[in-house]
Amino acid sequence: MMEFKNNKGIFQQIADNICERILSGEFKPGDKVQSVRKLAAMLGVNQNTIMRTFIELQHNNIVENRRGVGYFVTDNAPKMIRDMRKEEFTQEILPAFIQQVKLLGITREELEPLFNQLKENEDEDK
Amino acid sequence: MNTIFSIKRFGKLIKQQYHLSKKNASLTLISLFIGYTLIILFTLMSDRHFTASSWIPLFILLCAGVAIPFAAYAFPAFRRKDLTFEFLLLPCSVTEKFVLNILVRILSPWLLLPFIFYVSSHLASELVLWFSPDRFLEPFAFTTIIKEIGTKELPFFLTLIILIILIIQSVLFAGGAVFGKKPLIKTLVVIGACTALVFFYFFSIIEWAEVFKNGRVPWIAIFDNKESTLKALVIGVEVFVLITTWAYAFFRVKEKQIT
Amino acid sequence: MINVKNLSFAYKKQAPLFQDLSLSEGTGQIIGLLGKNGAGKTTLLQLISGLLTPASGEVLVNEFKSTKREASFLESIYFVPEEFTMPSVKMWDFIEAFIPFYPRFDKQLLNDLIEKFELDQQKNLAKMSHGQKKKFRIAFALATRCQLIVLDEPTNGLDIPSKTIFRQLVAGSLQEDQTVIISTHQVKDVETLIDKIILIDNGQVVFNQSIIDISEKYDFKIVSHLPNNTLYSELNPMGYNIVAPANGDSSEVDIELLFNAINNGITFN
Repeated sequence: MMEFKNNKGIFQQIADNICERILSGEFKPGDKVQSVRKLAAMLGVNQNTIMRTFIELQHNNIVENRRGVGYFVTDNAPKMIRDMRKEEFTQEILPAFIQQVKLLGITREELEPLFNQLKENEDEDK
Repeated sequence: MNTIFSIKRFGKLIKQQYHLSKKNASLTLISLFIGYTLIILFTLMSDRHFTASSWIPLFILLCAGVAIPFAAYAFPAFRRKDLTFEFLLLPCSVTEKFVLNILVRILSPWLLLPFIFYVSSHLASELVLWFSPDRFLEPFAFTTIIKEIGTKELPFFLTLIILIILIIQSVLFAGGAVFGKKPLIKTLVVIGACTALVFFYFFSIIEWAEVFKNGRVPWIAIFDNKESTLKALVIGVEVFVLITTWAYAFFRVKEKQIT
Repeated sequence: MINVKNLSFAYKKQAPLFQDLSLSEGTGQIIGLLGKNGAGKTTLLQLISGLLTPASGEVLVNEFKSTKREASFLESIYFVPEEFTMPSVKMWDFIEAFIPFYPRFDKQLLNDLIEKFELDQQKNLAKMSHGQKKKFRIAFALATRCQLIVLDEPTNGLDIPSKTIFRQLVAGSLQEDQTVIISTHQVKDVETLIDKIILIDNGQVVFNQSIIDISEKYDFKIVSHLPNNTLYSELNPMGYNIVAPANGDSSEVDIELLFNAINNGITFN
């Protein structure tokens, strides 16, 4: 069976979007994230849904709630997000990828760009 | 805050009427003024023998001719479903909405129409005298009506006439309020009970107690002769009819629904 | 906030529309009221607002019995009907005429909303297009800050950009003690806006759940082959549109699919 489309819940989509903006550096650790009301007004999404997004992000230590002031990006948010994404990659994306490699009989040569990128990553780490 | 009638909320209602109908209201008043003036002018021109008392039928005709149909169009919102909707949801008590309609649809013509008639009649008279300066014309005055009735019976007949006109207006006004939930039965019972009570009271004084035959006046009688009793009976019945008509209209408004 | 107790209602000379319907909703929600044509969405809204009297049962809104139509009840509720007539006055006159009746009215908010909807305050309301009138009434409704705002088919007649603005304005201008009920057939227009779905059918509430709960309990997806645990499926150019029990992740709720599933007798609880 193939799944073509499985959108995450809306609160999850918004959480992913905020994570994306933290990774890209748009929101830096210590920055204040837009308020619930402002995000709701921008996205046209229910305030309770946005609240749920923040609860989710807070639960994963990506934002913290300073009472009466708002939600702020935590210091280790980028690391937390990367760890979460890596886990998602190894748990879900990689097995699916391997399955496709198997199904289509992909050879080492055809994956050349992938190995080049892996080599670049290793060089960067050193 | 008072749930039945609050002066403050009523003030808001008046202000709302001003904002929503100032244009229509002023246009109506101006048209009435022009219409009255033209009709009076035409009458004066065509009737060479126009006397002071000739003003009375003209006055009654022109005022009643406007006031009576105007009352029949009370609660204009009830003519259409979408407007009924807005009327019912307006944050005011039923009493406030009802009193506003009584004021506008029944009472305001009593002030405005005679005033417009007065100004129009004087303008028309001036115009006629300007065209034919040799003509004798007694201008309209409210005292003419009073003179005509005669001072002795004045209080009784004036009350009688005013009440009759009010009743005609009110019956039509009630017609303006559309069907609700059982108000018809309730009102009929009320009218029936009230009328029966009034008749029983006077019947018991005049016939059963035979008060005026032997000169005994029982404690329940507040009048001491047959004529004044009959007059009071007439006025009493009229007041009752008026009140029950209003009560009937009120219940219809109170129980009005979107259908 | 809204308490409907054992409500029954029938129009004259017609079969009963509601029988023993009960409903209890708190504040701070945007409720989507769904149902087939003739299911009685508008009638239910009118019963809640006191415009109709139930045959039996009662409706309490903020502890007010709605059929009494007390002034303090009426000033806490604003209802934008699907079809309405505007008086032939300038928008400014309308605002001045109705503002005093709503104690929590926020004039600044109204000006912002009018600007965002690109409406002209100098214009005669009767001469505006249907969509413009509707946008004005919606803006006015939000600015009253009434505890209960009822919107009957609010997106009917709105152009595409206005629908987006509509969602942004409703989502952005509500306060915690307010409740909004939106009745609609245009589910896509309000999909992200509502956080609760109430579905009525055959005179009863047949479904009443929050979107977040549904998105965590059920998996909405497009697949090539039907899995065994499929609750309901519809053909789709790519295969099937399905709803199945969730596998731990949340998924975006496809309200149209959910609606069809319920109407086909699938129960979700």
